[in-house]
Amino acid sequence: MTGQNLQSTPVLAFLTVSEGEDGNCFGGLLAVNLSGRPLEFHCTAPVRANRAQQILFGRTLQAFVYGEQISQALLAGMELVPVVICTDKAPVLAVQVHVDPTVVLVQCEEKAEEITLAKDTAGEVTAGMSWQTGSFRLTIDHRREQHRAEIEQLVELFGETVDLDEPFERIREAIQEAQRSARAA
Amino acid sequence: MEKLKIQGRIEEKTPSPVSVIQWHDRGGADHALSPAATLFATGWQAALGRLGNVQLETSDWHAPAPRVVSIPLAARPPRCRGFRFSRDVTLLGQAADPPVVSSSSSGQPGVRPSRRTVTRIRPPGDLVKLQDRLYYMLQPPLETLFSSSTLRFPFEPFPYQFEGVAFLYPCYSGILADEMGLGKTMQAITTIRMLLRCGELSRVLIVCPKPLVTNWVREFGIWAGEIPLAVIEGNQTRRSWQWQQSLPPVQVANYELLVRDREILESAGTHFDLVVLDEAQRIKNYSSTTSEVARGISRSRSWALTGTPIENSLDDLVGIFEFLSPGYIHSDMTARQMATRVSDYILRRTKDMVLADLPPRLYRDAELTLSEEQLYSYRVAEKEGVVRLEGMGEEITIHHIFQLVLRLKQICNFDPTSGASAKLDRLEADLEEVAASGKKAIIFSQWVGTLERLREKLDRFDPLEYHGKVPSKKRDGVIEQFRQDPRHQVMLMSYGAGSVGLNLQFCEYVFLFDRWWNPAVEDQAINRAHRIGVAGPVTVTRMLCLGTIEERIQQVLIEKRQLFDAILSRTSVPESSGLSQQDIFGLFDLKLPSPGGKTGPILVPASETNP
Repeated sequence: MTGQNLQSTPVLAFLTVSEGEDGNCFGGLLAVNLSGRPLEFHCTAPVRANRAQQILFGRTLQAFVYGEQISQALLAGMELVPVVICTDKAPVLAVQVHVDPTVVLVQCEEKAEEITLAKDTAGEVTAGMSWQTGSFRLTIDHRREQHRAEIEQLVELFGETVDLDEPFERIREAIQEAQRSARAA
Repeated sequence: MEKLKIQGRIEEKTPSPVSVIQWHDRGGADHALSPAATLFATGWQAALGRLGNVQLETSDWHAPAPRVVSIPLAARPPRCRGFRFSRDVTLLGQAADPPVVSSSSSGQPGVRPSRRTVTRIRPPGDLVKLQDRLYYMLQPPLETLFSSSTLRFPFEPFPYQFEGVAFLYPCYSGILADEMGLGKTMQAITTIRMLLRCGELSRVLIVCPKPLVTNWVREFGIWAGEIPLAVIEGNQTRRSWQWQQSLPPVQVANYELLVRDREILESAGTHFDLVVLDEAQRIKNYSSTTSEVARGISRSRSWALTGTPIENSLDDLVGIFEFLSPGYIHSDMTARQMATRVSDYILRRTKDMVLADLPPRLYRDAELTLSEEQLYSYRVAEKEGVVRLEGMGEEITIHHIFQLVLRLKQICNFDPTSGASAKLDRLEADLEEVAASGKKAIIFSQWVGTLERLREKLDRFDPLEYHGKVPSKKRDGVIEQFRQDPRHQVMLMSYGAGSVGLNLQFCEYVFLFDRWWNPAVEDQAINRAHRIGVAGPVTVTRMLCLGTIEERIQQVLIEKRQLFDAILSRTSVPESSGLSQQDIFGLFDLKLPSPGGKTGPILVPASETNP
């Protein structure tokens, strides 16, 4: 996120990671405007943890790959500055210590599952703050508790037009398309 | 904690008052045992008067360094690809949206609206650049856009209409070929509106038949009221000025005017981001002036709207594609090849496919026997006609055949001498029933003369007329009168004037007094009444005189429908892909005059000719 904050309207970012059958992970980041229209899209090359990382990171591996490696790389490429970063993958919350915008884990009711919060790479358990709003359960890093009211306002603003967990499907399809294109090239 | 091991042995030595034991550790630090410690250590020897001879042996403190293997855990950041899309919101964003009658928005933030379907825009198959493909793939579902406060709609569109918009949105060349009555106009307007608002279009030209210009203006008012629109009209000076204006963003012109202003268009060098041809079957004839002029318009996108992309033969489709993508298909292709090739460029839905809730069309074939007078006149005319045709030898053309066909069809309507008509008798009986039930009916005929005759005979039903003899300016008023005034229960309409673009869904009865040459035009006529908004089932009465040319034409219509369905549904393609001129000559058991000659497409006989 090296670009200057030139945008006149709020931008919402959606970040997800999809895992292929071969164990490769692909990250995708979509920035949208108030209408849900795409402004920026970034995706990563396949990422795979090596054997040593798998052994040594143990339970923190996903937080490392999703949060440290993929999410940081994606966010670094953004030109626009999002007001909030939504994700549907709990380990992505680990990137919070590296970025200014609040990272929010979005889980819709029907897909709700037990949230196992990721451990960050230092091994410290990241305690989250969760609450229900409309059809979604939102979770943020406990160190961002003071931003809860702000997040609720943003959800209200975007929630009128953007289905908060729908953009993740777009990202997954776009990642597949980019991969197809890369294979064909 | 470091551990030291001191090894030594005791020897007798000269006593010394102080004895210090010193050594160095591995790190080079000095260590020493204090005198007290020495005394303590040698106390018993001192007590014996001897001093111990302590010799220190230093062992090597420096063990070999273990080998270390370093495993880098922090990998390099993965490679990323970034795509940035246009951030132009709209030039029209501040304008007022159409009033919302209903909306699918739940109105409660954060609450997922309950939607039946999610319609996504798909990139067309021929779009190669990844950035462009992603741009379309990453667009939000149409339902999301439609329910948002930024893009309001007066009515909740049907799911298939969302699909239509999703088809047109990324489309640079394509045909929306929905059956009449499914809202092609609305789908085109909605897509244009969205593309204008996101800055992908800035100048659009819509070309339609003259009677439909007001229809387009009205529909734009309903579906995209905030979009400024101009109708190209007036004298030549005014039109010339209009053609050169880049605003308003949407201009509507009719086909006849387009041909007339050909030179103005060419000299002005006007470029359109999108040209939409409504009732695009108008350009099916590749060599026609209309087709030439339409193809000559400078444009980036080309859409064709038609419920009947194939009216008579595959050449009709070839003609339309010459506008969309010249050379993409050609007449030498088989129906199967053509169907495969065009499948990505045509979206065709029928009411049966998408409107399960729409009341049904009930077909009644009124198979009638000619009256005695009609039968006599018919036999004489047929006999004389065939004899004359046979006598023409090699001079005979398809037009001679058509002349005879038209003559016989007219006799099936009315006996030329006595005015007797089996069809009229049946029609009057049916209309009594319609009138008694308070319903409304449309009667279609190919000829204005027939309609005028019917007007006299059906005077008690106070019929209205809508055909080529009714001036264009009065036609909207006629439709409105029919819609509003309960006294007028019958509308007499020609296929030519009334088969396209009109919304008459308040009628529940349609009579086809005579049959058109192809089923598509008949469908168009029927669908004036059987369309979205229709209250009840639409009863279609197809009048047919047994043992006449009409029965033979009926067979032709069945074959044509098979062809139409085959191309557009991509299912089984019949071996016989259409009606050849040989088939037409075969109606009277005549042979095609000369080999190699006159094998082109069949021309539709002139409509609305007076008998």
